[in-house]
Amino acid sequence: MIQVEQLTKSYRGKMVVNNVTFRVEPGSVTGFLGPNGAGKTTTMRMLLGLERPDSGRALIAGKRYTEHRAPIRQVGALLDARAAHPNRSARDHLRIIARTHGISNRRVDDVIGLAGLDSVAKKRAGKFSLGMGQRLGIAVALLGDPRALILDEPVNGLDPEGVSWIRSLTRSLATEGRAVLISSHLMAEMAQTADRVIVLGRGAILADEAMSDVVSGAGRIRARTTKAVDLADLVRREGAEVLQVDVSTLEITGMSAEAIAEAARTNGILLIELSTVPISLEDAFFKLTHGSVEFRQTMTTSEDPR
Amino acid sequence: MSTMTFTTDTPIRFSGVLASEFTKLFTLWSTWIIAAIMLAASAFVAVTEAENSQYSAPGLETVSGADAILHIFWIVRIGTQLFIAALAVIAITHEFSSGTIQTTVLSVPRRLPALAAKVVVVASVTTTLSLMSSLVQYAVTRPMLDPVGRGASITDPTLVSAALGDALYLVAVAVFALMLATIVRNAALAITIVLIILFGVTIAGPALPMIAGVPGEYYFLSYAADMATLALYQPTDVSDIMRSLAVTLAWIVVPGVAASVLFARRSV
Repeated sequence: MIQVEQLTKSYRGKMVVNNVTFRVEPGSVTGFLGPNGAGKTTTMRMLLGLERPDSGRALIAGKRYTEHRAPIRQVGALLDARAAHPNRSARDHLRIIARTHGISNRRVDDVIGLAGLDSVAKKRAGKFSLGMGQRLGIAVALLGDPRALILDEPVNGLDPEGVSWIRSLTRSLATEGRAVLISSHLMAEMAQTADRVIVLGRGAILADEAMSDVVSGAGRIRARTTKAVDLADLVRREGAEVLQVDVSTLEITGMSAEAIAEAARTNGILLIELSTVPISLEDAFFKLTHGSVEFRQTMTTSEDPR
Repeated sequence: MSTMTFTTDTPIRFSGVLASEFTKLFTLWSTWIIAAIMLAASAFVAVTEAENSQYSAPGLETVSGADAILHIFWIVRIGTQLFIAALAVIAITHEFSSGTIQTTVLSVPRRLPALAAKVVVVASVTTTLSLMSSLVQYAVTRPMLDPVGRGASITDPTLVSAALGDALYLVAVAVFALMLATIVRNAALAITIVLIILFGVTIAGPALPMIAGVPGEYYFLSYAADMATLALYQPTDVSDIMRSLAVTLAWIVVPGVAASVLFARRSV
């Protein structure tokens, strides 16, 4: 299990990670989302002992990373796909890491096969595409057959087949009982992969929920009725926002399905349909991180409207 | 998919870290290229010096036995220390420049065993290369020196001691260069500083004032290490040996402590 408790880190007075607490349970894939500069990578680096937190604890299987006798057997990490010497072969890169933990060359060859790098195992890492580099990084992470995995943007640079491979691999690793923490900017991909989502914004946790709650909890309620105008007036008086989709259908936000049903029953309005309109993870993400984005594009027009 | 291959969590052992560091150095072409150039340059300089000895033979009657080859060893070492320093510097800086330092500290999170293993690897490779260089110099110059009566047996104790002394001198230079490179984390900067320190004695040494009753140049790494290793095959005053040893150790220990603290604490 991965456990982060009140983790805080600042650089030159700027808070990068602010009192962050979460857990990643074995047997689950947890998505780690947030805009650029949200503190995801810093949090992952503190988990792996690459940065010292100002306060708080980051534990893996109950211990700090540096306290483990055989750390790469506990956690496999992918932080930087380019962290291989350009003049060294993929196999040699893996052999070097394997030596520290007494891992056999057979296991090295196994993970090369698992990552689909057989044909390029003796090729210099400097000749690798970003996607091949990611596969090498995944091979490094799997080398120690770890009980937990921390993967920072593992699908960066991968082709659709590679993205699909990561998805099935991470799902499979979680099914085997491992805890998987994975950050990504690809919301649609994360929606298909993660069981749980942690959203960071400006170093703080904005959401830590099951994926199903994130994509439904912030959604709208669709109500179909023969008296759409009456129902719209009714729920507006209750403080909800209403969008009339067609003559008989409303989409209501700011009011629960139960409250809408109760209001309709009390006022003699017949509901034909009352359902949650699922939102995409991307919509939920933007909604959660609005105001937490450090760098935002400003839209400008080439012509002066006047 | 991945399968549980391991039944036990074998802890990290220093022998494993050492094997990893040896693999790192030997899987880089730059290691072999530097070693090959160093040995070739050793042979070339040795032959050139031997030729000088041959031509000037009538005027150098006092030079006999192992003295001629000792002089060649000394001249060649001036150049080989540059190759050794470069090798020691890239043993650590290539990790910073390629980002593999992150992989190293993730594999060995307590970090200091990784740095200690680098010291052992650099010292071992330096010793091996230095002895090979001495052997190459002997092999290429013997046929030239024998005819003019300046040859010596390969088992001559003075010659063997001088070869060992050269190896120890170069190990001191290599460990110092490695520690300095760990501190500055930049190959070009580290090599520049090492060059200034090694050759500063030639340029600025004689102009330095006396410090604690001895000339200032005695406190340079190259001078002190040279004096300390000279004692292996030449009669030397004990106080000179002790002072030289202390200065040499200081050049290794002080940057060594700084490098260890920084390597253990800095973000990578």
